[in-house]
Amino acid sequence: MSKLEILNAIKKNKPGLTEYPNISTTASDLDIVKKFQEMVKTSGASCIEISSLDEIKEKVSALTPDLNIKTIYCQNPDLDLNTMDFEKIQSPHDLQSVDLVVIEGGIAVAENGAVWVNDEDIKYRATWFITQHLAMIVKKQNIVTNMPEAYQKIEIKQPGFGCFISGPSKTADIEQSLVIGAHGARSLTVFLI
Amino acid sequence: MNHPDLAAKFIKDNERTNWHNQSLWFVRQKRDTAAKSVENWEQLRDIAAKIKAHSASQLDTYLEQFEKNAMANGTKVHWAKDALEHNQIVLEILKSANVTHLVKSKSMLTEECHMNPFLEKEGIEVIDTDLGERIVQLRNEPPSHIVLPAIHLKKEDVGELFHQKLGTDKGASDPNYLTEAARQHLREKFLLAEAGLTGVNFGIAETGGFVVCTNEGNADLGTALPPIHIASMGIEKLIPKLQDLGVFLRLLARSATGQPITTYSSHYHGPREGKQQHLIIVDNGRSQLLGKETYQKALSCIRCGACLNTCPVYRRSGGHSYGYTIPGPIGSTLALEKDAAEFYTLPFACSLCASCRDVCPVKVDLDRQLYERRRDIVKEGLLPIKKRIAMWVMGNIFGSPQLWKPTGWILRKSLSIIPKKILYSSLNTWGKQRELPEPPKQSFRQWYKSNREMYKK
Amino acid sequence: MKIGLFIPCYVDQFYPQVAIATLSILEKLNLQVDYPLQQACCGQPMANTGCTDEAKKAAKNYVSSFKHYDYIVCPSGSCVSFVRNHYDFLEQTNAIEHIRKNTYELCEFLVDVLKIKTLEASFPYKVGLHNCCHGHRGLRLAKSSERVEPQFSKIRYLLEKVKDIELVTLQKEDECCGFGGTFAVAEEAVSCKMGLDRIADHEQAGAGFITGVDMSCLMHMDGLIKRQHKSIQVKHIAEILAGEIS
Repeated sequence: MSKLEILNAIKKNKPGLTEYPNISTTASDLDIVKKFQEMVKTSGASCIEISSLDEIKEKVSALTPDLNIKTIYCQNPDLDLNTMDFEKIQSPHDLQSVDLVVIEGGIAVAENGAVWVNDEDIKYRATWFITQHLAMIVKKQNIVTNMPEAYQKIEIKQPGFGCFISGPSKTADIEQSLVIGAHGARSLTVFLI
Repeated sequence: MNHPDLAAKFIKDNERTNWHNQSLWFVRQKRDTAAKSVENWEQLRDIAAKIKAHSASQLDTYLEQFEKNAMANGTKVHWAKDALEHNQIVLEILKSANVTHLVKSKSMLTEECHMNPFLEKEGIEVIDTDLGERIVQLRNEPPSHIVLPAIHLKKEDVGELFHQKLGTDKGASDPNYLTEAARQHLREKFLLAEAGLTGVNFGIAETGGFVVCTNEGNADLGTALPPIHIASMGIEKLIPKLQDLGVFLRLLARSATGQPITTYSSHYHGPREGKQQHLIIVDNGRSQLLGKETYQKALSCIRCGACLNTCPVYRRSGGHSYGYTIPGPIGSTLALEKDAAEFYTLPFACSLCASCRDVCPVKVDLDRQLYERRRDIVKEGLLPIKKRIAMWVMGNIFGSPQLWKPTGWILRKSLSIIPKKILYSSLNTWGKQRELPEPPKQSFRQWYKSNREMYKK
Repeated sequence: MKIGLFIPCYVDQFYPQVAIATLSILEKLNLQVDYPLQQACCGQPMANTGCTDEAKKAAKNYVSSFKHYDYIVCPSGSCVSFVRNHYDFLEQTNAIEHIRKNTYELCEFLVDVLKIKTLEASFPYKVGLHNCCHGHRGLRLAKSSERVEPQFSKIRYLLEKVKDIELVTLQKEDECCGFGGTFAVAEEAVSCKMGLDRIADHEQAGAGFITGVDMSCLMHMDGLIKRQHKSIQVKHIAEILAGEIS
């Protein structure tokens, strides 16, 4: 049986034991909030600083006409943005007409502007990817310096799905020309609070 | 296949070669900028190399740990000893769910296994959803780069292709317009698909999960919409712990495209409720390579493509001139594992400049491997007999001062006596585009003898 | 300090002025330098084609020619890199270990062993430094552009001591010229394309001369230059450092 065959071949052929290295990270005196904002912008997303969640509705309304946003998916009733009837969403395919998803992000990484999301409170994994536009609310207190620090803080739910999202979807597959908006979200807005 | 011939054909179009060269050099430069922005970049490379070395030395233990943890989170784990078995397993999964529409995100492993034609023969439509991969799929050709599959094509080529296959406007070549057309076209495919297949960038033994990195979001749409997700993973993709991702995800995108991270780094730990998550662990020669001390480090490769981007030969000859699933320096050493007789020109498609070795995020000793592959080719009798004889002759002449002295004299005299027409005949490959050196009146040896007293008789 | 001068086979026959310049640099520093006539070739051309068996004769001759010297100095990064990094195909004897440890390329010998601080040389021209790959990434004569570490170059350090020299800035500071040994013939089209691109880089930077530590690279580029009737010239670094003005 193949599993045994493969494992036996590996046992026979594997090189002599080498030690697992020390993975230590050096502390940094970086202004991580500033760095995060800079890297979010570098990734092609916009970063809007807000002082309260109440500002979000107004900011989103400012975006909606330009981006032709009619349907908004938002699980937080306090934000007063949602236009979806959650009962009617029976499969991820039912999200195909969503224009904007507004969700809360988790740990955020300064070195690359990435934000961790997971499916703990989201039913359909397609939610972040199928929407035309994505907005994430990120708390400044959740910003860490780099990826090693992020991995110390994020929780891997099992079973579960999580993703570091940095910027809107993009591609440079046509003659190395960067195009923002490939198969996933065409734009990403990070609300930093 | 013969790299020099294919490369010569590629180079005939000088302007296009310059364009191809510059496009890839641009990516190399972006990589440099990104690398410089990371404090202790060289230390990070070192750590990554050590993690991979450690992982290889305990690969059986880690694979068993991985399987156990993956199963615990609801993933169905399969083992495929070779390409055929991999394809058969995929087919079985699809057939038992009556799948006829499969969407696939980039996986060099499935290219290696020639999975697409295998499934298509069985009546399954396989759509490559990475834009570059879709482009080459529509053109019926293999990708020419492992990260930038369509780097050999100009936007006008893509425009013409999309006009024919997707109905875009004739003559339209704006990348934004073409990408939008591809988005609409592939959206339909995502929504229609009954299963999604991805590769695996990293499998994590500690948690039984795996990571897939994309910029386009195609892997995510392809696995979040259909009810079945199949992930194909080579055994060498396994890393011991979750925290190792803190090293590899810092190196991967920076080395590949110069980005600090890809747009999406998706971590899969089991299926959604009621859905299927499959993971196929694939050997296909990797366990053999594991036992070859000289070449084993090639298994550390994280498929970033940096060695391709920096290779002065790849940039000027294009991926299709290598004739193997993976081109460039890493491809040239891996290809010899598959078929040394077929690919023997590949290790010689290299000037041994070692730029690849210095750029590799996991410190694969590529230049050394290609040098050693040459020795193996000779040992296996695959070097053309003409070359072998020439080397034997050279070995004897260069190995003996008594033979070298007169030979050198003869060479110098010939260059000054033989008429140019004969000297630069088509037999003289050096002389096709280069002048031969001017022969000096005396060799250094002769000068030394007559100018340094101690050697005067 | 007994020094054995190793001159690459093709330099001996076709570019004796490079060998004479190397010898004169070392003699000006009052060093005892021998050119053992028994030498021929280090074995690299055969070994690079995978024929290490055919290289054994040359390698053994190299070892027996030089085993009694404290240092072996050679105006070629390529040959030296081969001896230091690839002589492991031979059974390691004391002599071979000694040879591998003490074979030096000229520039690194001047900088690391002799630690020279001044040079009496003048070369009032615009010069492009070609970082020959085997010396560059095989012997670490300078920081390669791929690596992230402090800038250094043993070659530049020496060239900057030459009076009136002006070093130009290239677009690609260390791309391969395409010689690569038998690569130059086996992959003729790519080799020449690489060489022409290198030359074009030096030309656009305004160089009148291309210099480097390997005459093989320069020979390849010179071949292309002469066929194209270009005015740019090549000059091995030994000739510049020896204080010769052409």
